[in-house]
Amino acid sequence: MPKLDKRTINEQEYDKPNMKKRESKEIRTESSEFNTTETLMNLKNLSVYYADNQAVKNIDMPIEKNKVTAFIGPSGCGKSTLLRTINRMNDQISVARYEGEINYDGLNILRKEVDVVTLRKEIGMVFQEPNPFPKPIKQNITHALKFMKKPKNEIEEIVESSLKQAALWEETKDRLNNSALSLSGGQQQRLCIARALALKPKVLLLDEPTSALDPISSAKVEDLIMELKKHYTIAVVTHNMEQAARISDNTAFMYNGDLIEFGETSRLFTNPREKRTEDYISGKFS
Amino acid sequence: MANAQKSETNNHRLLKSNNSSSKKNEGRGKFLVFTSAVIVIIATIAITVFLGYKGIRTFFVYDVSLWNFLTTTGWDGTENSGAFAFIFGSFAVTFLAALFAAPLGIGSAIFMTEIAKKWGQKFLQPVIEILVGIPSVVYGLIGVTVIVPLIRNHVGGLGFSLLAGMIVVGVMILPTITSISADAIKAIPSDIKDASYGLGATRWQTIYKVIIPAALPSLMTAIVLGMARAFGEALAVQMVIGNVKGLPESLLDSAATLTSIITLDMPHTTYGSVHNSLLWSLGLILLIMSYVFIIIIRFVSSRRKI
Repeated sequence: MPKLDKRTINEQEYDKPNMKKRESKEIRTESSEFNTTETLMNLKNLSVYYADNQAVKNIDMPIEKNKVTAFIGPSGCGKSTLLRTINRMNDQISVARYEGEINYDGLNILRKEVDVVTLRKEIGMVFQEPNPFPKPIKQNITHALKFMKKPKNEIEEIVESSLKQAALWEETKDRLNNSALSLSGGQQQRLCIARALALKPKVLLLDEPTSALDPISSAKVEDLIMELKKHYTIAVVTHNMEQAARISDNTAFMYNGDLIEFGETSRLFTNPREKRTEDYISGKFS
Repeated sequence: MANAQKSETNNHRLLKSNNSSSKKNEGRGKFLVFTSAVIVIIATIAITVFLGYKGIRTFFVYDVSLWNFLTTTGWDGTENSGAFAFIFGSFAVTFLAALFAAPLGIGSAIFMTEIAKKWGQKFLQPVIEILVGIPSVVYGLIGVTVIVPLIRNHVGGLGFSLLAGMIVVGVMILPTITSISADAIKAIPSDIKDASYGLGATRWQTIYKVIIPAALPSLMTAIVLGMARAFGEALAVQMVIGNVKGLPESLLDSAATLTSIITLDMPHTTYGSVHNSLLWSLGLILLIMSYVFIIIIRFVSSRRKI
């Protein structure tokens, strides 16, 4: 309950002109715990094409370790495409192709020789719509573990620990064998996060993880993201600028496939360098 | 207040109009649709009642024992005739054909929806839809000229056999199973496939653990529909199965099915004879089985995963 109250107050504050400054102060204090900046991933001159349509245009930016990097921008600006490129989900689309590099752990992960199956275990993804498998809750977590031939007792432990990490254990421990579809939307989304965490990834990609959720569920997922960044590097695409301001350390603003501005969230939201960034975050266009 | 207003104006544009021409049109449309529905229902009931009456007569008018009829073999057109060999033949052809066609059909459905999407949907699917429309006599003809000699020369026996029936009927129901399965697999929302790929599952793991389980009720429906078609198939089976009135002992033996015996014997019986009545009873078994298949399909397709 207290979390909830805080949130509603925050939401009221957003209407006031001074809200950005207040919000960013909070974030600065929070992110000061993680002062060390270590680049985990580097996008170099990255372009993504769907057939002849260039959806992402020559992007250079780092993704820092144990930080939340937010991608904001209007619909169709290429932010989801960029995110799906990081774990090669765009390989599913036959007309998609890449140019440039994503350097991760000393390797350009866009190379053809990369084993995308292993890559996706290390770089997990959570999608916009909660998409649990139509199976029991427990089997949603064990689905991918079984392919990795983990021993049974280890699987049991992972089910519990990943549900705990996703703050879902208390709500589901008595009904692990119920259908995942019996959970609420917010619980389903946290289950999807737990499912990704079960693989012990290093990076978590979240594609508008709260856009299909109600405010209370969104708040829970946001709290979870803040908690998870201690152990994971997180990249999140969001439509919701307040959310980006609340949860991210770095923000990238994209427009029409271009990266317009990238920087520390507190700086970008209070003192944007580009006119278009300012117009977007002040709501002049969306 | 509201009531008072209502009673004041009887001629408001939002009130139901008394315009007779639009009412007539509406009535005509209703009549047309209603009559079609009634005719279809009457036809179904009439066929069932007629076949039921004709089929049951055997056991009441001609004193044929139902138990004997269902469980013994030996078909001589008298009161002692037993239809077990044909019932067995029909079921054997149906299940063997399904056994042959289900893996192939579902496999090719997966191939054309998940693996070779472009090629599969542009080329394979239209080809399979054409196969559905080929008349069964053509399948029978190919069976007689190609498959029967092939079995005779390379496997053994006369060639006219359960095996030939299984292959011909299996190929016949293959397109049915394939196209229904392909539609079912295509209907699976892409987000659960994304979820599986996103968790680092390979394509085969995704097909095996996510796509097939999610599509299972529809795949079962596809198989049962194929089996219903196999059970009712007469012409193609009759051309290749040999039509021997005893119980087959192996796949290479000739056999007969309910349908093939009806089409073979019907011209040789006189109306009102025991033999004729016995054939009606075979027809009744076919009708009952087709109802059973429909019930199975209803049951299977209404059963949602978990």
